[in-house]
Amino acid sequence: MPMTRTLQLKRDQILVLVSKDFKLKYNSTALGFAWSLIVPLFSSLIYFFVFGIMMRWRAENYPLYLISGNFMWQFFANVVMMNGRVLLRNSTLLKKTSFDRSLLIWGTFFTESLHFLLTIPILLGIMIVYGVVPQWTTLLPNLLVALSLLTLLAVGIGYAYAAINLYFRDLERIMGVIMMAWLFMSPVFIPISNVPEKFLWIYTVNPMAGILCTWRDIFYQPGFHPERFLILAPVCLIVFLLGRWIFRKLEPRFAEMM
Amino acid sequence: MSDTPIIELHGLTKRFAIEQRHYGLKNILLHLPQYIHDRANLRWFTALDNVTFSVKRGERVGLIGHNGCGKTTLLSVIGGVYRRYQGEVHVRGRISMMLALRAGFCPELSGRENILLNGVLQGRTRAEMKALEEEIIDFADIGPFIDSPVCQYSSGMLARLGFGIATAIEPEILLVDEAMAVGDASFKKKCGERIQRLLSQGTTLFLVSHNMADIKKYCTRVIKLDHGKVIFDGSVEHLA
Repeated sequence: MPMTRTLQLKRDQILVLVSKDFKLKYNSTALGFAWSLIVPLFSSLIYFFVFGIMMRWRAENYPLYLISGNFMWQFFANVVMMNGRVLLRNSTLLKKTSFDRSLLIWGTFFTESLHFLLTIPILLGIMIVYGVVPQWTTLLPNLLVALSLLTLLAVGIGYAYAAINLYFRDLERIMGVIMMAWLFMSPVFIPISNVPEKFLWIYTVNPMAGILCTWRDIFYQPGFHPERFLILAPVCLIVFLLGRWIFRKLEPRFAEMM
Repeated sequence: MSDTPIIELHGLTKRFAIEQRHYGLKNILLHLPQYIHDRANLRWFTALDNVTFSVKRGERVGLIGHNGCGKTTLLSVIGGVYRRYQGEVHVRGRISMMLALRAGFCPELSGRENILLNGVLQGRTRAEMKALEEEIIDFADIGPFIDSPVCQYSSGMLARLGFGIATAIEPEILLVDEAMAVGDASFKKKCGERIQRLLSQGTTLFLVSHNMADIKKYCTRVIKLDHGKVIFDGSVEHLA
């Protein structure tokens, strides 16, 4: 397939930014990229101890429920949170070169996608332990839809967060609280059967709940539910477009704000 | 190609707000009248004031003026770093910038990694940069340090590496800001050869320097700025 030079250049620019992120992230750490496995694995263990053992919450194959949800959540949360300071981290590049700034947001996304990819073998291992074999007809559409909606949502928020954070640094603290609340409002470690009925509306309005449910159907409920995306898909698309619009509006002054 | 200017500025004005006091929410609420007054009467620093000129392809322009007269701001606007301004700016060619030291480097990465990063962000593909790598390393002449993080480099090493990259990617417009000031005699000689080679290929040069000998050596036209205004624009010989 022939590639235009512009496209090839954009691809290369994302590649060098991602490879820089990887090198800096694991620069002078002894365990290197093993950290991208240890962190999500360890937080899953903590949730399992607290909710599975101490609180005795029950769900079918709870460790699988927890790990599948937590890995996906961590992917989402990392894309959002790492974009908060992405412009500040790259200030020397922004002040001296004129490349398309939105590539930094996508660079963060691809870096975190790679981390997410690295955790997949663990998920496969747990699936083997529980003897879960997904059906192709569920796996393919659900995986495609869950990942593309997560991309729109996370990158959209990342765009807005990165740009606004330059002008309003309080946002970092606010986002920390929002992401914590969002985690508890999403079916990450809470089995849906444990949620009182009068609070279930939260899952209806929370796009991450829809994304996590679509993702989990791969392991639990064979089937594809297109009706779920009537609201979910437009919401994610609007968040993405709004975030990108905010970024484009603020972009001309990035270099002088640092 | 013909006669269309490669750089065209029309009425370019760039102002920066001078932040007088930083208000947190508490102070905004407690001193609301004062805050509103300050916001309404922001003091502005005019870095570039109604700058108009155009540069033809292949022209060699020296930019001079005292510290703080707007030279670096002007290069930053032409180079696409500052993107909000009043007036019109048209740049019709691939630019390579060499703005001060540590230009576009990532301090924790090695020199070799920075060659790739910097070159690709300035518009060359990875394959092209790989092909240029040896030439750049050869020019920068930093020996085994090329694989050490650039935060360990001396200012001379940084300048050589930056200059090596900026010239190797063969830009149509080369913006150089004080890059040669830190070098020793042999570095200046090498830089001179590089610049002459690019000039013979038709590169448009924009050189900022306080060294009149350099300006006279490389430039045919001089633009002098004072408090953001162009106070002289003409050939080198006519400069008083």
